[in-house]
Amino acid sequence: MTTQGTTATISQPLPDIFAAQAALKSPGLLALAWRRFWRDKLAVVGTAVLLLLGLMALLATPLASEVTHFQPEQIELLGNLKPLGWARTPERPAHWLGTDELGRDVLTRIMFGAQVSLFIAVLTVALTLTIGTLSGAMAGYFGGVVDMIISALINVLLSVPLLFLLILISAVFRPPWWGLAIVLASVSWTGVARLVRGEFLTIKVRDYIEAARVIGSSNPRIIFRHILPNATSPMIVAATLQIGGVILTETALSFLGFGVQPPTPSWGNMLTNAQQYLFLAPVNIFVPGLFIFVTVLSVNFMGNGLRDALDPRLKQ
Amino acid sequence: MDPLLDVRHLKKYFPIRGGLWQRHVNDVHAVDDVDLAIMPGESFGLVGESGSGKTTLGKTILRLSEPTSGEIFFEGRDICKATHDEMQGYRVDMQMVFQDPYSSLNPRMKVKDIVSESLLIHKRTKGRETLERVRELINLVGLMDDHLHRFPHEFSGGQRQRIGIARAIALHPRLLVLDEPTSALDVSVQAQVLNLLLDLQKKLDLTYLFISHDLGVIRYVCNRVGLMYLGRIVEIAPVEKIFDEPKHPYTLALLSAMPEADPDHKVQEIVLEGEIGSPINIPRGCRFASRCPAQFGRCHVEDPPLVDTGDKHMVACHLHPAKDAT
Repeated sequence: MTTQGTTATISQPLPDIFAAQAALKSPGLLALAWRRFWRDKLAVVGTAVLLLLGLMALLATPLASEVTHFQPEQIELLGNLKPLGWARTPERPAHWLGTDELGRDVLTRIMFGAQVSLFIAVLTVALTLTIGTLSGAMAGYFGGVVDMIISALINVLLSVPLLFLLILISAVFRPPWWGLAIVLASVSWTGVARLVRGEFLTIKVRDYIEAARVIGSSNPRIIFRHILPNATSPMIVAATLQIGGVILTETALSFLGFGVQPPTPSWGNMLTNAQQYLFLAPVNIFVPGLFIFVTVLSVNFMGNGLRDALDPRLKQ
Repeated sequence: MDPLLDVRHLKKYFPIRGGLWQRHVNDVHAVDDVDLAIMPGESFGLVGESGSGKTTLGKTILRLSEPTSGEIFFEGRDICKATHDEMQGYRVDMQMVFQDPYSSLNPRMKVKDIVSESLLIHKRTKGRETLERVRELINLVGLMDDHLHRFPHEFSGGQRQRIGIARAIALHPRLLVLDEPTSALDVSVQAQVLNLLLDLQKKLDLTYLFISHDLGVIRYVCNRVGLMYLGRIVEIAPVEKIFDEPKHPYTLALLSAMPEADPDHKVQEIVLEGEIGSPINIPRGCRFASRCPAQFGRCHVEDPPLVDTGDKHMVACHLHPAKDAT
C-alpha cells in the first residue's frame, strides 16, 4: 500500500498559477444568454416589433388624439367602408387605413384593439404562470396524492375540447375583458403546470436539494429558492410562446362573438365585422389579420430565440 | 466514553410497487439491520462496493430518508423520534459533504449565499457578521475572498468540493458525513481535499463518517473501518487491523483487489465469482455465501451475526466465532 506515501508528498497546497486568470471575471449566465439571444436576428427583430406594438397599445389614447385625430368609436357619417387614405375633405385628417362598416377609423381601432388583445394576452399568461407554477410545483415536489389529484385534473382539462368549453363559459357569464383573461387562464394553465411538474421531478432529486435539506431548509424555501430559480428558463420560454396562442384564442372567441364585446374594439371582433363586407372592403379584413399574424409570428420568433439563449442544451 | 453516534438495528427498505393498483410487491433492502457506533473525534470509514447501501446508510443517519426501523442515537438521544422542529436542532450538529461537487451546489446561487444559507436558517449570525463568518469559512477551506461573489460554474471540481465543505462546516457541526467526497476528483486534487479534511478535523474537533469505496483513501483518513456488503456490516476493526489481519473473506477479497504501486509485490488475488447479490431477494443464510471462497454448509442456512472476536475486531462470519467475554 503506497497511497499513503504518494498523497503525503503532495500534501502542500499547489501554488495557484491560474490566480491571474481566475481574477478575470467570467461572464455570468445572463450575459451569456444575452449574447446568444443577440446572435439570433429573427428573435431580435421579433422582440423589436413586439415592443413597438406594446408601445402602440400603451400610448393608444395620446396617439389617437395627436396622430390619427380619431376616437375608436367616432363615426364618420356617410363615410363607411372607405379605402386607405380616404379623407372627407383635404383639410380633414385622413383615415390612413380606411374606415369600417360604421365609418370608424380602422387604424385607431387597431391601436385600441391592440390594447385589449395584448393586455388580455399578458394578463392571461401572468395568471397561467401563477396557477401553473403553483400547481405544477406542488404536484412535482410533494408527489403522492397531491400529484395524483393535480395530474388527474390536468388530464381531464386536456381532454376537453377547449374552444367549446371557452364558448360555453363566455356565453354563460359574458365576462368583461379581464374576466376573459381569467377564463382563458383557467383552461390554459395545464401546459405550464405539466412543464413545471416535470422540471420539479428532475430537479428535486439533485444533490443540491438534498444539501439544502441537510442544512435545514423548509419546504417553501426549497421550492422557491432552490428549485424554482433552476426551472425558470423553460417556463419563460413556454410563457412567451403561449402569448401567441392566447392572442389567437382570444381572436377566435371574439370572431365568434363570445370574446370582447362591441363596441370595444379587438382584433378578433374587427375581423368578424369585416367578413360581412369581404368583397366591398377587403382591406378591412386584411388589416387586423395582418396585425394578428405579425404579432403571433414575432412572439414565436422571440420565444424560439429565448429558448436557444436560455436553454442551450435543447439546441442541437 | 459514550459514542457520539450510535446506530442500532437500522433498516431502510425501499418499497417496490407494481401492478394496476401500485400494490406493495417487495422491498429493496438497502440497509438491513446495521449496528454502528462512532466515538467523538474519530474518523469512521465505511467501505463497500456499489449497491452495498453505504450511501443510503449515510443519508438515513441524517434522516434525509426516513429509516424503516431501528434507532439512531446522537449524543444519547434517539433522533428517529425527533419531530421536525427538534430535527432542526440536530441539523446544526450533523452535516454532510456530497459526492459530486458538480451537482451538489445550486447553480443559481453565489458562493456566499450557498455558504451562508445555513447560518441564516438557524439564525446564527446577522447582517455584517454573516459576511465575516462566510469569509472566515471560505478562507478556512482554502478559497479567496473574491470567490464569494461567483457562481459555482466558475470553479473547478476541487474548488467546488471546498465550497461544499465550507457549507457543511458553517454551523460548526459535531459530526460530518462525507459521502465519497473525493471520488469525483482527479487524484492530485483528491490529495489536497483529503488533507484539507484532516486539517479541519483537527482544527474544528470534528467526527467523520467517511464513506468511500477507495481503500487507499480510507487508510489515509480513518481510524476505524466498517465493511458493508449487501446492506449489512460484515467487519468492523481499527484501520491497521483491517489492513494487516483482515478476517472476513469479503475483506480479504477486497484487499487483494487493491492496486499496488510496487510491481514486484505479488499478492494472490482472490477473484470473486458473480455479482453482488440482489438486495431485493436477500438469500437465506450468510449474504456473502454464494460468492464466498470459504463457504461451507452452515453459511447457507444460518445468517452470522456481527460478533466481537477480540480486540475490538467485529466480524460477521461463521469462521470467526465470538471470543468469550470471560
